[in-house]
Amino acid sequence: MLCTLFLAALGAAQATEIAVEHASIGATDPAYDAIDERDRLAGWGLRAGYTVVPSFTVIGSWSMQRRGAAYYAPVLGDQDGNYYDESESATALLGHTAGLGVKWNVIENPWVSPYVSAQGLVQVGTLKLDDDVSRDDNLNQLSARALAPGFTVVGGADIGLGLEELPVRPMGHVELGYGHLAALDYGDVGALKLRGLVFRAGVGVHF
Amino acid sequence: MRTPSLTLLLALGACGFENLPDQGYHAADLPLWDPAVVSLNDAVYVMLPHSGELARVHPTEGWTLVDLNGLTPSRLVATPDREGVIVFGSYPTCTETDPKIETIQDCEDLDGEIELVHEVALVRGGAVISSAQIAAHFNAVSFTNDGAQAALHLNYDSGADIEVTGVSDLTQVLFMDLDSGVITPVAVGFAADRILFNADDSKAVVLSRGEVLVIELTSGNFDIEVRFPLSLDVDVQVRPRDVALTPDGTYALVTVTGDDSLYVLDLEQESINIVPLSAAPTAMVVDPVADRSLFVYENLAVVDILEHDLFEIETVPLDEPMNQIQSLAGEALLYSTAGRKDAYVLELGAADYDELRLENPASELVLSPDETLALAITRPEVSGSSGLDAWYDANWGVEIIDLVDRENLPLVAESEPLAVAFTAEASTPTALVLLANSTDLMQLDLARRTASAVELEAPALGLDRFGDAGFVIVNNAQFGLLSFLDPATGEITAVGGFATAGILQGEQPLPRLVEEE
Repeated sequence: MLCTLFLAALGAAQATEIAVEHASIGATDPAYDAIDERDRLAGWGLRAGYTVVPSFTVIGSWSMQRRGAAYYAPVLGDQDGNYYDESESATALLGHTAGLGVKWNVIENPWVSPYVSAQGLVQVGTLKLDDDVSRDDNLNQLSARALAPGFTVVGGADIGLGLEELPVRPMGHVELGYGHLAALDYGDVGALKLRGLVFRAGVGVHF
Repeated sequence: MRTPSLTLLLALGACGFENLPDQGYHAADLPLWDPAVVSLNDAVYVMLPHSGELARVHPTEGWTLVDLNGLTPSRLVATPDREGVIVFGSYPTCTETDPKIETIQDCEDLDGEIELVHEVALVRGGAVISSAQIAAHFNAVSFTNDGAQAALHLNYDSGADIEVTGVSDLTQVLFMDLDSGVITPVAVGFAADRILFNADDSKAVVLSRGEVLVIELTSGNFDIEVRFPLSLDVDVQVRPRDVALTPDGTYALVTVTGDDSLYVLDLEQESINIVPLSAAPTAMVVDPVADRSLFVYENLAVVDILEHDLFEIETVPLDEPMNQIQSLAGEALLYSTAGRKDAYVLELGAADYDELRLENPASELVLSPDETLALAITRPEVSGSSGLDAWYDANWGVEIIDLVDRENLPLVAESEPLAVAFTAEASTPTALVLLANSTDLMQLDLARRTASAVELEAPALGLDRFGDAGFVIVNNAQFGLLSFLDPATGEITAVGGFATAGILQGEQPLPRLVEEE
């Protein structure tokens, strides 16, 4: 009986959404300065959702980040301690974030539907370091990968154009909240703690 | 349509090193690593100023960090047996004792002040054997002949500012047992800056401002046996310049800055004899085979030979003044780093010499292990010549000096030779020459007078011995690079990346909180 009711509700509420989104998370950790002196890690990705019961949508997301900087450090030039000029190296973080969670649309409206959402996250971050960017075969091209779980809790809104009657409707979304990832641990190289303000905005379709 | 776009995105995310993102720049305050490495028998130790760590680098084991319990190393000194390294350093503490304080930022936020605690640690096999707090001004180490003890003192000639924490006692020397790490402070007089040990390490001779002390080392009490004032007038400041012991350890020979007097201190009879030299010497060497001492002078073209029985001087005239001496067991090689091009192989017993003429002035000279050859790095000079001579004068060079046949062979270098060294292969005497801004390590076959090159990963900064017969080459690479050379095979093993340790530097913790101290 319960199963029948659940399937009936599922059938009535069935809807799918897919969007391309810009996503960023706070990165105020001083360790992140070596990669990007701005205090956020931003990237682009996809968000997909499936409404299982009215107003409740299972959300999955993936985003990719590519941040990097030219890295300068003074160099002690010889064994007598004489200083040489600064030399240039490169640091980069190539990240992938996957999330799975739920979204609850507090008010269903063809124009603006406010919602709250929570996602569990998995962040995979590949740190790349290269101290001679002019050479392809440089020995000091170093790469390390780390994985960190985390979560986001956000409030936002789905934004439509009032075109409820269309089978495929263009939609946008904007959301703001807090995200917290465990440290991406690169051993002796250090660790990155990505946490703080989360901002996401995207455009896509509901059908 | 969607599938190719996704593939493209994934491909961009997994790119190699050819297309790294570059959206800005970051400038670190401190160098990532210090090329003044210390090469021991087990590994090479490298200070990492940016992260405050000490890296241990091995050709096959790679690199690891040495746990110094938060001590940021500032100076490394290898022990004489090359089995250990003495690490001078400091760590931050906070004047406030709030338990919430865990980082430097916490301390500053709670109106605390950061203070540095200075410490010396003895590291063997990649681990700290012992450590002890010391005053900030200790910056030099002297070792006993058997390498069992070290004396830590202030060397004001290093040119560094004397760092004072609280009230520093500049009259102290610290004796450190290199097995146990136990440190014993001994008051030795103001500004002790030179310490020697006699042949059986039973006595230490300490030079300080205006006096020389002899400290006995056998009882463990470090008692001052005798104190030699170098002046009887307190208004006259006599500053010892150099000190050496005679081969039997009975006499200490002390030269004085700006004075042509040689102070001969009889350590057994506790008496002083003053011997007049030809001038204020710039270099002094004691030759244990000939049992004589040599003195040369910056602006006087003579060498004084002092015999150790009656302490009489024999003055040998030269064509040019010399300022450097290399002892050759019964002979000596005299040369100049002050622009003179003569060099002399002096027989001490006969007070006779053979004269050599270098093509350009020497800046550095290295003896082969069997003392039959020497390599001189020669520097460009202002030329009054023309043609080939003028061209030679304008270039850096390496000069091979045959100390047996008393002849020399000048070689021209494409750039400044940074370091030269002899390999231990006695059958085929070979020298290594590192050139500035070059990725080639030159190998000179000194018997055949031929040269070959071994390619390095990056230009070199320095060269040191490693292990029994190997070498380590310090390369110029931001993230750290050492090349280990096996001279027997010519094989190079490069280890890099150690300077990336701590490159992601988060909030700086206070490594030793109050309750741990």
